[in-house]
Amino acid sequence: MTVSEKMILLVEDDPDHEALAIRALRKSNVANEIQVARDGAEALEYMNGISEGTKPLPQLVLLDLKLPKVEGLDVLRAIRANDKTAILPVVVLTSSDEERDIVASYRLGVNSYIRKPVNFTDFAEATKQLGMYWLLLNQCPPAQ
Amino acid sequence: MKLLKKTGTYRLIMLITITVVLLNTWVAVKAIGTLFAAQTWLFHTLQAITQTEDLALEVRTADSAARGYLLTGKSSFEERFNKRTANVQNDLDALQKLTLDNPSQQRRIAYTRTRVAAKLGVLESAIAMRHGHPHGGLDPDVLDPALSDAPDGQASVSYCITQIENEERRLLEQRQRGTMIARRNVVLSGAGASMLDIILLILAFELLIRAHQNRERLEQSAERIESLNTELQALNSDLEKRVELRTKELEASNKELEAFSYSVSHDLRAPLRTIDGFSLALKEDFSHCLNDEGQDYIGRVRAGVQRMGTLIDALLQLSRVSRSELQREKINLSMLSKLVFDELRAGDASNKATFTAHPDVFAEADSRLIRIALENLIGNAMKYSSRTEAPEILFGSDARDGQTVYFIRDNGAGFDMQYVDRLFTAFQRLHGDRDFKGSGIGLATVSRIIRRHHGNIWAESELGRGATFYFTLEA
Repeated sequence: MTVSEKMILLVEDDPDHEALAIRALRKSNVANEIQVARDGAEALEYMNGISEGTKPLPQLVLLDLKLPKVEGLDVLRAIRANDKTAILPVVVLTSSDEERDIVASYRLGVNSYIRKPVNFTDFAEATKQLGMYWLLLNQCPPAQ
Repeated sequence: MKLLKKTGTYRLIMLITITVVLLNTWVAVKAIGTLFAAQTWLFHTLQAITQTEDLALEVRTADSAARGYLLTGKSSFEERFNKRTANVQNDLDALQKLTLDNPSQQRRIAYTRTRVAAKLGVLESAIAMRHGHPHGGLDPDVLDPALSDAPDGQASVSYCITQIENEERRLLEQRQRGTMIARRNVVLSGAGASMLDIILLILAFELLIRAHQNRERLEQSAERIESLNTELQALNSDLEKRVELRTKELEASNKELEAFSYSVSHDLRAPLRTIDGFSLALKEDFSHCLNDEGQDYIGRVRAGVQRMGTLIDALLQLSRVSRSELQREKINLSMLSKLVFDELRAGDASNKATFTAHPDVFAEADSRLIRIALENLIGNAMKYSSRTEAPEILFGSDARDGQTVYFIRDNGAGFDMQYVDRLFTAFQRLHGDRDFKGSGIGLATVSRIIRRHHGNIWAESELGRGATFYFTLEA
């Protein structure tokens, strides 16, 4: 559980989107390890694992909002409520551009909100920039 | 006002009635008084006649008593004569008193009194002579005048009395006629007054009955109004309940719609992204396995996905336009339309349109919604004029019938006015995708925005000569 591993946690229920996101990241030369949580409950479980020290702290969380069992916004709230993950960079990556979702996300302290474009070229571009910014350019808070 | 007038009329009628009744009473009383007076006079005359007759009787009795004494020399006759003489004087006095009002009768009575005195004087002389001759042998010079009716050749006593009586009888007749007339007057005035009173009574009762009927009708109206009121209140409360229910239903359906839009935006887009992503992966990773036809197919798949994405976006915008709350503020439409045009122009490098706006056109409107409307209208103008030699777009305003009418004009393809009704309906297009691409939702969205501002939208065009879209933002 070292920062140098620079692991990315992807919270995504759609296996297709998971595959496409991973492909896009790989295409953008992001070689980091990618862990996947397939619903909100699984994401919360992962967070609990971090608190208990059984799971590594990711460098970045890519979070979908519309998730089975527990909503993405609830996952975000749980991340911010936990001392160990309170300052973890979280990027919401979703197909919703509803204003209330955007506002709610920022209120809960999201670092970035990116709407998944339908056009995959655009999506790949967005993912690439995301990876560049959060993984290479941005100075992350030190692990506790 | 009308009621006051009516009350005044009633008062006037009452006053007239009272006056008429009083007048009637006065006339009747007057007539009765006249009758009483006439009857008193009648009685008076009858008394005078009786008195006259009595006088005549007394004179005759005195005369016969004197004759009796002259014949027999009995003192009883002389006593009777003396008594009757006194009676004659009394009767004369009484008669004089009774006819004090009548000067001619007074004269007659005075004359009669002299004649009676002469007669009685003759008789007394004869009686005195009889005293001196107890056994007869009376002087004929004294006896003859005593036995004759009019010894001195003047009018006899009985004639005089008859004259008085005749006068009284003439008066009696006259007064009887007067009494008859007075009686008739009493009857007539009484009957007339009663008739008038009855007519007035009938009138008054008629008025009363009418007033009563009016009041009954008013009461009925009041009852009807009250029952209508109750009904209205019931309807009102029913309506309120229904409005409440509808509002709740509306809120529920609004929430449902929101949930639906949310699913549309997320769930419909998700598989699209999958198709697009994997078709791109195919193209990028396996293009060496595909010939030109295969590449073309992949291109068509991806174009279809793009189109579907645009449609979903347009639908979402349409539903969002209906849901969001309207917040009016003062907007400079000239500046906003220029901004919108510049943004659209920046997103489409191939478009050569030029844009002009009337300066300082203001409106009270929801800025977010108006921006969407302008984006659609200006976007359309740019799209449909893109094949024109020198595309020009104009935004401006006009005053029509006291209302501000805004318009956006282009010199593009235009449309056939025959189909103008289909223009603002969702999914209705007047141009094929082959000519101009579009979702068929843009103008439906604009129309909904304008309607939410209680405004109107309409269009005028001629094929090949451009189109003008007009709209208002006030009811």
